[in-house]
Amino acid sequence: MRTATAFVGLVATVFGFAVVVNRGLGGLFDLDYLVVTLVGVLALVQGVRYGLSRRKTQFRATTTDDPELRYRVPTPGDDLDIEFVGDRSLGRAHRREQLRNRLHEAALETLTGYGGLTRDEAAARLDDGTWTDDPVAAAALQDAPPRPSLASRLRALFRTESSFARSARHVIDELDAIQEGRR
Amino acid sequence: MSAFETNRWTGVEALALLAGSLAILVSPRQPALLLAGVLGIAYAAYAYGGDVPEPSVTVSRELDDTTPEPDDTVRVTVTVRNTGDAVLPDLRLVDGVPPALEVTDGTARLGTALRPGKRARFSYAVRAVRGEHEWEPMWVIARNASGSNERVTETNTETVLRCEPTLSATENLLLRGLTTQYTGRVTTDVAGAGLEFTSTRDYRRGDPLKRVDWNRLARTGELATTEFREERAATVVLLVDAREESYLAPEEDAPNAVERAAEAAGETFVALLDGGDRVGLAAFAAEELWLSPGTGEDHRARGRRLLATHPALAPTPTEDEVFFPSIRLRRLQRRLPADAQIILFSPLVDDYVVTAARRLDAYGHLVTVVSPDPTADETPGRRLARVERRNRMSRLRRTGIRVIDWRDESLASELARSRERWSS
Repeated sequence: MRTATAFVGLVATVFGFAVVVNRGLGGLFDLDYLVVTLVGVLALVQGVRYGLSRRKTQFRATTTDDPELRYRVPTPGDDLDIEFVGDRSLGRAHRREQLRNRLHEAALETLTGYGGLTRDEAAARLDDGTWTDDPVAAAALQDAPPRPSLASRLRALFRTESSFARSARHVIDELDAIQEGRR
Repeated sequence: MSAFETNRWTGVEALALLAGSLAILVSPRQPALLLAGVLGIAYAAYAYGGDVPEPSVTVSRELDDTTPEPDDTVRVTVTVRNTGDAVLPDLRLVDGVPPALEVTDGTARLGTALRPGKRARFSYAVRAVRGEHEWEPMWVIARNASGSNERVTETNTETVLRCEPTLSATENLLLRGLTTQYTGRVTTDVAGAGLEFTSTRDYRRGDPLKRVDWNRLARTGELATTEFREERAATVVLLVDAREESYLAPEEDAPNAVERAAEAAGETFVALLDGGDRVGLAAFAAEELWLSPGTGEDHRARGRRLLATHPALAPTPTEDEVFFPSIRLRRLQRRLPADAQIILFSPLVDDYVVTAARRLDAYGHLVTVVSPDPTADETPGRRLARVERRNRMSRLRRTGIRVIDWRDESLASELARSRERWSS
């Protein structure tokens, strides 16, 4: 199809130049109203096609980065997006498990380092949830947390934050408070 | 690099075709519109006619001060010259400012047109930070007159900005608490350098005649012997943790932990040398840095240069260097003098560095950790990182290693506070 149209276009162009050279060739066609109108319609269709092709093409230009700015270094903790660990994606369970282990380890260390407990005592406290007054934080690190009440489950339905992210946030804030001596 | 189409003029043919078709279809027919279509053809020819010439330009950069002090403003003047024989109708230049420098005034870019042999000049100012900064190649982006074609090349000229802090010991660092002095009183028979007269005592038989206090004998008639004590200096190695993991900062424009560690190491280096100790330098990084402990002016100058310009302590992490921390640690242990004390500068952002400190401690070196704090608390993740860092500090303290948590005050006041805590 494309070669055919290209061929027709080439022939038409060559013929056009030939008419310029030799005016007599123009008389081969009877340029009546219909033919000229057809040419006009064809030009209109082609013009619209070209105009629409602009909408579809990507403009390309070299993008330069910002040499004026200083090299940006990350802040510790930026690699764990606790808000997004709970999102539905591949490997979510694994990432959650990793983060939960990390929180558990941090809690153990904090209780031994700042609470003056031995490691076994700290592990026992974490397991029965008596290390903090915050029920959300306590339940987050228990292997078998108590079933939350109906009211709190209903409230959870209306929260935008995932329950996993919420409990992680509570644990971290609680550890922070213990370290700063606010508990 | 070859030219590519920018697609800026895509659809310019529509102008000619639509004008022509309207000229035919609108009744009565409009010859004037057909003439307007010719204009569209001219535009299409303009858009696709010219190719972009290969830009051949030479660059020269001038710094008004190539060895500034930290925080000084350095003005950079860049001159570009078209050495080719083609007109460059559209030339865009983006200078390769070193990553650790920030442009504080003006902009490191220029858009211009250059005839053959002509020059263009632009200038901007950067704020100097410690280190040796080499300019990266300048981007040269050239287009043809209509902008339908583009070509990108790079051109460079060697430009280096070397910024060495003078390391004056004006900061009164109280390092007495950081290093333990050998207070072994070694009585000697010879008076000389490094000895101090301490006291006299009653003469005992067998004391050398040299050490009899003859003045006193003349004054009082008592025989007494002078005592000397030899002061022995401490040997200290300053170890900077400059692994890629340690390049962290609490805010976007704050100095990162490695920069702060290097700065603190510089202050400590000078203060210890002034106190008469033998000081060495080492880095925990992909690039090897080792300066064995020593004293004297030459040593001071060498240490200063290493701290300022050694690539291991650069303000930005070095790319893709293979680094085996355990090998580096073993090699460091072999080199350390047996009696060396270690001051480790590290943000303590992972467990490995804690292990390293404890291993050095187990080898019998007295380890003190000075830790610039890179943590922040805006997000739960950042708070968790802060909790973990504090846990690492308490773990180190439990094993008897002293840790100084250096937040955003000056190191001197942080040290003073720590000493109060330790002596209480």
